[in-house]
Amino acid sequence: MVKNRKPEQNLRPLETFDDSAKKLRQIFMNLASDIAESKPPVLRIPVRTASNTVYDENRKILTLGERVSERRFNDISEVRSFMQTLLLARGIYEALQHDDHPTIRDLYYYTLHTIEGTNIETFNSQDESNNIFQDIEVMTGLLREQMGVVAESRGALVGDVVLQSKGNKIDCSKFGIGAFNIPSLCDQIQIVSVDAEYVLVVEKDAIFQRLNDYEFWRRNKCVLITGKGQADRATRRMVRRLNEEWGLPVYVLTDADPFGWYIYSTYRAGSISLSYESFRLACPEAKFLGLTMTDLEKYEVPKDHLIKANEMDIKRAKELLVRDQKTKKPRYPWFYDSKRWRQEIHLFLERRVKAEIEAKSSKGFRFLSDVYLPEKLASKDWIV
Amino acid sequence: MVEAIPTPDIGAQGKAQKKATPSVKAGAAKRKRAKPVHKELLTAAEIEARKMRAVNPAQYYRQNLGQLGFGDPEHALVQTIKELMDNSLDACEAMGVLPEVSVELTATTKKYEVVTNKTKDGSVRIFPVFKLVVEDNGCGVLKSKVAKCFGSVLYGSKFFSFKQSRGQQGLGVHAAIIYAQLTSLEPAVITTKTESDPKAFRVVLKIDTEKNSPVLVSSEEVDFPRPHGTRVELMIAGDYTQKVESFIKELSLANPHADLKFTVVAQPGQEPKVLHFKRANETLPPPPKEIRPHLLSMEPGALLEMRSNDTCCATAKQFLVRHFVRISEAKAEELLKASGLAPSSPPKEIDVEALLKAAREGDLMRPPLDVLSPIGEDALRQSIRRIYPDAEFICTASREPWSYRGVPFQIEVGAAYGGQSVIEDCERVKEGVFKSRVIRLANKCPLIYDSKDCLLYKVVKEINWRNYKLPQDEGNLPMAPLVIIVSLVSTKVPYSVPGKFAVAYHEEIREQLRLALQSLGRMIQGYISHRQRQEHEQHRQSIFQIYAKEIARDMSVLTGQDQALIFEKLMESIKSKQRAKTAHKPKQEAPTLPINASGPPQPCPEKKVEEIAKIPPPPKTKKQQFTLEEYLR
Repeated sequence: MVKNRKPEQNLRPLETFDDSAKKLRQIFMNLASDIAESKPPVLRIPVRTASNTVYDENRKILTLGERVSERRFNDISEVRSFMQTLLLARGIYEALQHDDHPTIRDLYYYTLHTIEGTNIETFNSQDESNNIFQDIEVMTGLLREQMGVVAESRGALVGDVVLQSKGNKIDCSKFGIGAFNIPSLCDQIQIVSVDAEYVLVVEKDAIFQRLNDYEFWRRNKCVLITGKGQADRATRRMVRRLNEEWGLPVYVLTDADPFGWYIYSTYRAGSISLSYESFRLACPEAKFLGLTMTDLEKYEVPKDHLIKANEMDIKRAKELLVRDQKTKKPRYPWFYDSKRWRQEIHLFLERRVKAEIEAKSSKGFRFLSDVYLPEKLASKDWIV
Repeated sequence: MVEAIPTPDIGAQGKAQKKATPSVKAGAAKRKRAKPVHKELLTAAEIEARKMRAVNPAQYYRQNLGQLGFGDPEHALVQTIKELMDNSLDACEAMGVLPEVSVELTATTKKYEVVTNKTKDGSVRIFPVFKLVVEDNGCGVLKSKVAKCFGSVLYGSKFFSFKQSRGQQGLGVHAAIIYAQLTSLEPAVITTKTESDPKAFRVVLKIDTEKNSPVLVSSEEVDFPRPHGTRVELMIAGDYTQKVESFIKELSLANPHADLKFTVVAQPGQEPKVLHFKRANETLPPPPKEIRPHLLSMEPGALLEMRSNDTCCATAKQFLVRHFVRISEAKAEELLKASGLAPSSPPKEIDVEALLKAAREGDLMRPPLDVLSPIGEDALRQSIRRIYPDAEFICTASREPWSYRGVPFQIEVGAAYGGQSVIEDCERVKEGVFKSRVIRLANKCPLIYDSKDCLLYKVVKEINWRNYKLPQDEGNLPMAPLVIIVSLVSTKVPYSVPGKFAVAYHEEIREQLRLALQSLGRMIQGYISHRQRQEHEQHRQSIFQIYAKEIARDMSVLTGQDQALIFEKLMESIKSKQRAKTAHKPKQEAPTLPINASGPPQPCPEKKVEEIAKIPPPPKTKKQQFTLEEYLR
């Protein structure tokens, strides 16, 4: 139905790494001219802490606030991180120039050396290097993917989708019981055509494999995606692209517990730790399909299939309804401002039980794919 | 050649004295042995009565040399030099000339053998006999008085005055002569010339201790290289130790206006070693003033004696007003009434104890305090610089004069911190750790021995030097390359025991000393903080430099600009930040220290030193304690 909805020549052009290299260079050229004019060398880095994470009501995503920290060369406590920032930026720049796509671990080793005249290493650990890497991302406004830096990825996609990469067409409906692994640099892939009505994101890889086995996606005209737990950047980016470029609605299927809700929340509005990239990753239109607390009653999940909620679950659930102490605004407005969500959370806090998707199998192995999902979608029984 | 001399076995004398007190008996015992015993029966009292006779001071001296500081050859050598130099400096002071004293100590081949209690098995020790020559440019002694002055114990000018002087009674020289003739059998040779005499007078004499009178060996008129002065030559047995040099050094420290030259030949035939301390300044210290005693400083016995010997006063009131300081007519009446005596009664009727009690309760004014002759803060600083030319930091502090029991005194302190010459004077505890050293001065004369019993030393240990950034074990000397100089001047230095080099405890002295040492501590702390800031700054610079190199390389790759240029500019940016900082908070930056480590001593106004002392210590950030390595991490 939606196949070839866009003619090929109208496809969004791929981002080139040359642009990133130029941008990176420009930022440090500015720093160099400051130094040449004897101005104190300063790097201005947006603050990445939770306190500087705000909810953008218009775009309905989490994003970085306006607070910016200054990293000064001539401050004894900052000179080391100043050096590390430049060192890592140089590594990234050199990789971009040679069209190399290193991992952040590659970059760590590439930039790790003993500082001349001392027995001090440039980085004490990769954590330190990773932290600086994120600083560079927020400072330059260039995301890791835009700088061609690869990280581990684990998302998978299957459905009537044709992708194009390095001149090869990839038909995502022809993986059999396998699936297309969404690569870290997923923006380097063009989505050539899509024949689907919606995107179904499932939390668990096992459920994904089962639905794929039944060819749920073919029968229900959808694209099936999993992030295998908390989604990585590439998976979220792919979901966003399918939504943005192809106008597909997105439904999320997780376990019926606060952890599942968090996973949904990340797809929808972004996470606090990576709030600076929500603008490319978050998908505010994503809807929560299930399992809902009300489903547990509605579909009569037997009591002994329910799991007692632990303290961590309760704590997380309560957090979803918390207001920020300073701003007095709800910390998760998309939960707090939704009547259905409040009901769900209160129900959970009342019963103190949770359930896995697999609990549906008590009614038969195909209950999830043949009954539950079609019914839910047909009756539009999702939470926005 | 070894000469065995029976009498001067000091240790044995000391023991004899313990058995028979007072010492008169010891002398009498000898007489008993010399004369045949009477055959008729006598009562014990009669036997005792026959032994009794007056003892003269010279005899007393001969038998109690230990008490006077001549206990053993080591002490005796230092003590002899001390007594002679004291006299020399006092003679110069009396005349108001800048002292120029030379001391020559030459070991001869002559030996002196003694059983000392220092060796466990009581074996004989052999010491060399030294020829000691002390020459000064003082006022000299009148020809007519020379023999009496040097040859008769308790004859001198100082005993009768109540003013600050080095020797307590000026009697030490007699003890030295007696010690010399006991150990070497040689007479003293005294050459002296006053300003008015055309030629010097040379006397060779011994002291007849039985008669307490000089025995002239010879006397003649000779030439003298100086316009006036005295030269004393003695032959004494001695044990030459480092203490002698220390003594000369510390004496010159206490007397910055004196030119002291010390030549020593420690072993016969050796090359002479010369120490020459040229004067640090040309300013004569103010001469000490003579005052009448304060009633509170009187011992009952001494007061009784004064009362009994008085011939000039008709009434008790007159006696008090005339002989004591700070007693007005009204005060005298008040005191006498309080002691139950009419002011018009003759002095003989004074009840000594009642009068002293009245004085203690009678709210007497302190004695006049401007009678002392302190070293002076500036002079002391110059003096320390002369001895420790490479000290990193030198500071001094002094208290206003004060009094204890009616006796005026004044405390001055000084310190030399760091530098090779200071380190050499400190005890090395372990690699790089030194125990500081205390130099004690009493009336500008060093106290070499008995530090453990001395108040001046104890108070230094009492101070919590940790407050001033100096490491210290509780109740010990600070562990730092540091020499602390403690000076007490007084019209009467309260020695704990005669002949001891130790000052007795007096709360007033302790308090003044404590306050002086505390302000000294603050100055040292100021310096250490300043140095720490400097080190911190150097540290900072090196850290920036290390990182700037890295950054310049990265910047050069990123921008294609010249690496060296970027590095230069980066290093510049650190300096400009410092300038900006000093412009905003000038107080944070330490003023240049008035004393620089390498340069010559610079007279510096006291204010500056105070300023350093007031610099607040830098904020105790964790960073400060970091090593470079930790810093970089």
